[in-house]
Amino acid sequence: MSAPHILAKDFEAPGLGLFEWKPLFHIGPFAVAKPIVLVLLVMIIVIGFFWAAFSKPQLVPRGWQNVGEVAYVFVRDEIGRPFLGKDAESWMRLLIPVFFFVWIGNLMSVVPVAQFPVNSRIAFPLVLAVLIYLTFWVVGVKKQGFFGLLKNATMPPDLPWALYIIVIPIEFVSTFFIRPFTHAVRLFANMFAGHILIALFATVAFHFLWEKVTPLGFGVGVLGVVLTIVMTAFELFIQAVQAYVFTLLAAFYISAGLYSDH
Amino acid sequence: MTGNGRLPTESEDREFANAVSAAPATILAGMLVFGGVGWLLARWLDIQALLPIFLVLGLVFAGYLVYVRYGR
Repeated sequence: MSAPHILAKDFEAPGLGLFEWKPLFHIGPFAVAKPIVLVLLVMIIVIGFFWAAFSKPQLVPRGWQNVGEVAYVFVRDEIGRPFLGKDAESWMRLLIPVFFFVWIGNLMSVVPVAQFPVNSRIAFPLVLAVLIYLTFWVVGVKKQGFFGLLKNATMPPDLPWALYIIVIPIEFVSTFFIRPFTHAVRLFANMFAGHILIALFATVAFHFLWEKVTPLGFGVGVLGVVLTIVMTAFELFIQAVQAYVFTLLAAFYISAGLYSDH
Repeated sequence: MTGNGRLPTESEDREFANAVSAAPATILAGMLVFGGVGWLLARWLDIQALLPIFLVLGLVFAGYLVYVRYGR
C-alpha cells in the first residue's frame, strides 16, 4: 500500500448520512426530525424579525425598523423592480418571505448546534418552487388567458416559421415542466454540495488532528482546518447568492405570467 | 397588480435571469424532446444509434435557440 492509502485507511468520508435524521419525537402520525424543527425556527425568526420591525412603524425609523427597511428596500430594488416594475410593491409580500426564508434557512448551515442548511432537503425548495409555479399559472391565465399564456410562452417572436415546429415543443417542455424543477434543484444542489464539502473538511481535521494523530497526517489535518474555515466563508457567500437567485427567478417567473414577451 | 401587458424594463437583470434560468431549461428541454423523438425512432427503425444522434442534435439545436433568443 502506498503512503496515502495507509494514512487514510481508517478515515471515513461523510456521505448521505449527513442528511438523514432520526425522528426526535412524534406528533400523532407525524415524525418530527431536526430539519422540521429548523424550518419552524426559521419561520419564527423571519416572522419575529419583521413583526419587531414593522408592527409599530414610525415615520423616522429606529432600531429594528431601520434594519427591516434596509432589508425591504434591498429586495424591492434589486429583485422586485427590475422584473415587476411598478407592480413590485404588491408582490413584496411574497418576495420578502421567500427571500428571507431561503436565506435564513441556508444560514442555519453555519449556526452552531443547528449546522444544517434547511434547503439541502429538496422538499423545502420544491414546495417554494411549486408555489411560484402555481402563482405563475394563476396570474398568467388571469392576465393573458390560457391560450395567450401558452402562445406567449412557447412562441418566441421573430423566428422563421419553419423553426416553430421544433421550437414550440422545446419551449413548452422547458417552460411548463423543467422550470419548477431547475428552480428547486439549483438551490437544493448548492446547499447539499456546500454542506458535504464543509462536513468533509471538518471530518478530515477531526480525524487527523484528534482521532488518529500521526506525524504524516498532521499536515493533512491542518489543511482540513484551514479549508473548513475557507469553505465556511465561501458558503456564507453562496448562501446569500442562492437566496438572491431563487427570489430573483421567482420574480422573473411571475413577470413571465404577468406580461407577455415583447 | 396592475399589469399593462408589457414588460416593465429590459435590463441586465433580465439578461441575468435568462442566463441562469431560461438557457439551462431550454437546453434540457431540447435534449428531452429530441431524445424522446430519437428514442422512438430507434425503437421503430431498430437503429440504436439514433438515440445518441438525436440527443446531440437536441443539444445543438437548443444551444442555437438560446443564442437566437438571448444571445444576440
